[in-house]
Amino acid sequence: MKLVCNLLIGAIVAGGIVTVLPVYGQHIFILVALYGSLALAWNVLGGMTGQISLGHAIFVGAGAYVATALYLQLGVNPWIGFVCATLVGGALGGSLGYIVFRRQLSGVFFALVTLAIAEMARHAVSNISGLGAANGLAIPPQHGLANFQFSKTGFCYAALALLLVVSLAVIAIQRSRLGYVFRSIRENERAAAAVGIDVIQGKVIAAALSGALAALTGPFYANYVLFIDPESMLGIPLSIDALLFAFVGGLGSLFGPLLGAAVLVPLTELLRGLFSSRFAGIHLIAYGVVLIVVIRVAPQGLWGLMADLIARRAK
Amino acid sequence: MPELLSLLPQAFIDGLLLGAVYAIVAAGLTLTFGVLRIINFAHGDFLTVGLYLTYIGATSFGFDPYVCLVFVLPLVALAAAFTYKVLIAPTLLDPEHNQVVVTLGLSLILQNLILTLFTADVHTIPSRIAARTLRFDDIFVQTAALGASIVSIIVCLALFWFLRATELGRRIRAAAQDHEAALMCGVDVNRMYLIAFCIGSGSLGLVAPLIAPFNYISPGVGSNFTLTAFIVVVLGSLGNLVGALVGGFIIGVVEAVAGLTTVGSINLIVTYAIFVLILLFKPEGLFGGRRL
Repeated sequence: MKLVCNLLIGAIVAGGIVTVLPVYGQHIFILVALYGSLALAWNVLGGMTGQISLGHAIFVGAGAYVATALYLQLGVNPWIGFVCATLVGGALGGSLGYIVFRRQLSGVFFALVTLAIAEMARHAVSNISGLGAANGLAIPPQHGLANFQFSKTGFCYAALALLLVVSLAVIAIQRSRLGYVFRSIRENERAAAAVGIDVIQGKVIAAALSGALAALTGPFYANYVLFIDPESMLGIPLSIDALLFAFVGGLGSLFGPLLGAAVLVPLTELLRGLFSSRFAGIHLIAYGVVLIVVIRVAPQGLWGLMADLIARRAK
Repeated sequence: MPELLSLLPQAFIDGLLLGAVYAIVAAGLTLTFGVLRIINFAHGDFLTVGLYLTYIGATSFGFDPYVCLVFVLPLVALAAAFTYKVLIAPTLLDPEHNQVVVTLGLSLILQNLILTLFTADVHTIPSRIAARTLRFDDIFVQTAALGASIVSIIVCLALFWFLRATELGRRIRAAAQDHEAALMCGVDVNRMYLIAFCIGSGSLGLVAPLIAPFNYISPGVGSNFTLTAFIVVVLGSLGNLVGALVGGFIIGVVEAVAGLTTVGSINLIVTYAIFVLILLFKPEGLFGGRRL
């Protein structure tokens, strides 16, 4: 209960901060909430269950394309689009998990399969004219709650709500029986199987939940930017972002991935603002360096580092 | 359809030529995996480094790409040795996902360092030595591409011979098969790892100047090769050099023929589908059991 209370207090404080932020700051706030949600979703499969995915873009892309295509082609309300996106993401995660985990693929091979499947999806969407092919889909701007299009401040609150939903879901998963199942699989698959846990079923459920939560960020991004294309929604960089924030923040912790996003996204924007005119890829160099330094120096991530510091202070 | 049929031999030959290059890139990857048990996501980026070194040699000093070989090969091998010492060796005992993430980080750094230094412009480096195009009936073959494939095949076979028939190769295989037993027999395992990594990644310094005359150069070219090399390596069985050679030809031909019969980038879906199916249903690859 304490954790949920802290979370709600944090959300209220963040909501207060939003009102005094400049427009650019609000944009960064929204990005942090979005990437934070994605990293938290990734962590359900990657951190809790220990199956490193390199293809989470497929869930984001599926969510974004399902909601946007439904809205543009059939006039389906974006709110219903969110529900559809989550269902599609969950179904996709579950079925991919079922196919892959039943064949006992794990470790690097699981990572490679997810990477390949996401790339297949990217190339497939790039060749489907009904989904805008490589040119992408644009959503006509029509402000209003019904269309899920708000002002900048409105989007801040929406992003905060999204983050809160994902966070509560992650806490619920962590505390349920499933959470224990996931962690036992991560720690030792054979031991988990020996005490009667259905390891494959557990992994499939983790993939489905992770996919469903990740798919939530897709329609949000689509409605915020009003444009989606295969490169940005299904590309490898997005999958790497999800993994990167989780690793830098701390794989073993519940909210480390959010911390990773909260540190790295503003850093990215800062570097981009300072150098983008001359040096295009500089923020990605920083990503690479931060990633390697964290793995080498603090394998528990920033969250673990912080927890250590606090514990030492308390002594 | 008839016009497609008449283009088929050309596509087939193009696929074989491309496949030989895939094979040598994959051979390096399979060697590092077979010996160190580490999957290097930055593998192809060493090729990019080699290509840009060739580019510097060609534009700043006016060297022919083939002349650049003289300094590209040692520099890339040196870079590989440095990478091994600084990044790979310390992570050898870490959990598998840490190794994945470290090489991913290295890939991000290399790719974007090149992007920052050279911009995203796509370059080509024509060679004066091999600029001709041979014609056999209806089939056209660039001499540069032919040269690169022949050298690739020779190097693949030479690597195979080196590992099978020389004392050093025997030691490397010993380190790969059981590093503790090898250690007890007096094999300097760490040194063997270093040598294997240098050969595996450094061989890309040989490939780069060879493919420079007919391949475009951009900061992202290496990661395309990394992905294809993964596919080839898994297809031809991890750690199997001859498998990498055969797998390279298969993927090259599939890519070229599928590219002929489909539009857009659908041919890439075909190769990824092969990859996923092999991993799911025949993870030991086409040649199975035989490791280094």
